[in-house]
Amino acid sequence: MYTFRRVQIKDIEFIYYLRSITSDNFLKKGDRSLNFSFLSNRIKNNELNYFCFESKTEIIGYYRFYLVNNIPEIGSWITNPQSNLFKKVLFDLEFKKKVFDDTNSDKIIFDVKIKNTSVWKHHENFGASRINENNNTYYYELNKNKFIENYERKIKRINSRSI
Amino acid sequence: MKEKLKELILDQFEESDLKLTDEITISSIGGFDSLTAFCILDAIEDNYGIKIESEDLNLNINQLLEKINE
Repeated sequence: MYTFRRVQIKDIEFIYYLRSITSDNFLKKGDRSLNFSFLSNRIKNNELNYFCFESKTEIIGYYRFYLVNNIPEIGSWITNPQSNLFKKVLFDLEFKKKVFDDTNSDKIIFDVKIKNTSVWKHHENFGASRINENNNTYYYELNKNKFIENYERKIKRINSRSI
Repeated sequence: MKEKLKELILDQFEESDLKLTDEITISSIGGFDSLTAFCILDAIEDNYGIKIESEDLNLNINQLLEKINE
């Protein structure tokens, strides 16, 4: 059983650690103390929609969203390298579902660095449409109806495996 | 069928000039990671109606084709 909870101050060091060890060079870990003060202040002020996905025994990862002109923008997806691939994908799907449910928005936006091929391929396979690009970045929109079309089928498929 | 399988796998990688030999191990292709693995497993299930395991991506194209045809 996996659940979401808001990121707490105790998570900050682990997030920093995950960013330090990730093979994904596109997520910058930044300065350690600046990172800590930035996140801890916003956690204390309840200013962050930043969530941890976990079971009783394992943290799968972290994901956040911001509201930009009332449209949710998701990002900073990072996962525990010890979690298997199905849990990572389950996390992404459940987080998008949560953002649609929490915000009642009919779309989600996000961007991915072009060099981060496996990530944008993954999002496109799950129905995201590329709406813009520049030299370094692809910009995406995920329509709620399109997402829901795939969601149940993909969740069922993931749950049919031993994760 | 082999060419279709290769195309399905190549779709998950960026390099358009990437060529797959029959002997190449899928997980050894440059850029392969856990998300690529999921996309390949998912595409195989979509296209062949067959569920293979992530460990099967340590097979080469010929071996994977045999597995799908089992």
